[in-house]
Amino acid sequence: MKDPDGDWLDALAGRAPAGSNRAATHEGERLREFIQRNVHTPDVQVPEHDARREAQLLERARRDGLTDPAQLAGRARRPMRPAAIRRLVALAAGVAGIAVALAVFLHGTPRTEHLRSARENVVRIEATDPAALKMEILDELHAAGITATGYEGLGIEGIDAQLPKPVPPGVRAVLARHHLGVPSDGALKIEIAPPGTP
Amino acid sequence: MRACREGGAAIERALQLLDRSYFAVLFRESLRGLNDPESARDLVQDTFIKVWLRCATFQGDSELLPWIKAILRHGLLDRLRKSTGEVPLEATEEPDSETQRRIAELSAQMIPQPDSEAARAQLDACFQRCWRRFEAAAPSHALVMAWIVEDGLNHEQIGGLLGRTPGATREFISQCRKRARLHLAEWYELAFGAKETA
Repeated sequence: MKDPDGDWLDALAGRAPAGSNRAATHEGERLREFIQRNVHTPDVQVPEHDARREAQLLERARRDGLTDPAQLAGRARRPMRPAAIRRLVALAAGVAGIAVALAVFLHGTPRTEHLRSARENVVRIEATDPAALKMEILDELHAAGITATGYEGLGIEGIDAQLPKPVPPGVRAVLARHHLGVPSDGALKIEIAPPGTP
Repeated sequence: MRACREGGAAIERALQLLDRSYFAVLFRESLRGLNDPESARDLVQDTFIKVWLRCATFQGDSELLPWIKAILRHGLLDRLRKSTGEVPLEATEEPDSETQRRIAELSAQMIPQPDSEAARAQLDACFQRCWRRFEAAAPSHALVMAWIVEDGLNHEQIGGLLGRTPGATREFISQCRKRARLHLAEWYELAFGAKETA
């Protein structure tokens, strides 16, 4: 099939054209040659480190709630659109990716996919393996010094715990890791169900 | 994903690292499209925030800079669309059929180009003049063409940047070619017709 624009694109990109339109190929090649020689990003000096610039960025991150785990958790518990749900699932499942790039900071392991909602102070999480996630959260809470109770009923796994005040940083870290907010009354109630459970 | 879990200082350190590592290259890229340092800086910082929010979608086996650049470029095209609006190329604006026929003929013949320094300098100067007009009249198309040359973008990658379907991407590429012919007409005449008119 003849596709002159496709051949033009291939030539412009420096690839061997898939088709055989010599005119389009030659046109693309000439454009490529002149763009390579004459079109460049502006040659401006930019300091690698600029305190004012960094302060602006951090202020922006704070404004967007990126530096506060509680706000991040709150962000995760807002009613979600399908796109946001997919992003959250990806966030849970794909944390290993960015770990490669920002190795200094990133030491995560792939997580179970889960979505959540909150009603009547009970945080509802959907997970493909609710029992495993329950055990994971229980273990982490126990490791952080919290006595938490796990239960199971009607196909739903649950966790109840009364958190001390103030909530210790280690416990906040566990909650943030699972995108859970700190309950205002200290009563942590989590329900974990398979996806699609009403 | 420790920074994401811990929030606060860890996220701030990660953002500072992003800024120090990539601000300069992204700023130059933004400046080329936006022609305004403040807007360019704003776009780069906006990109860093998006990088953070989308970090879970980063594939660890790919390079970080191209991924970040793609986010920036997507945002850049979005801003250009909003600021300039997309004006479809009117049929009357297209090069007339005689010009198109001539370009096709001359391209097909692959006429050898004048190789003297003076002729080459004249062609370069003409190209630069025409390209500036092209950038002013159709910034998105000019930018995407430059990116195609620089990074060898294929159809799928262009579609991703534009956020368009494969069909709409094909149409955009076709528009790039038509607009290039229109705004670079003077250069086309010299580059493809020099031998004939000499």
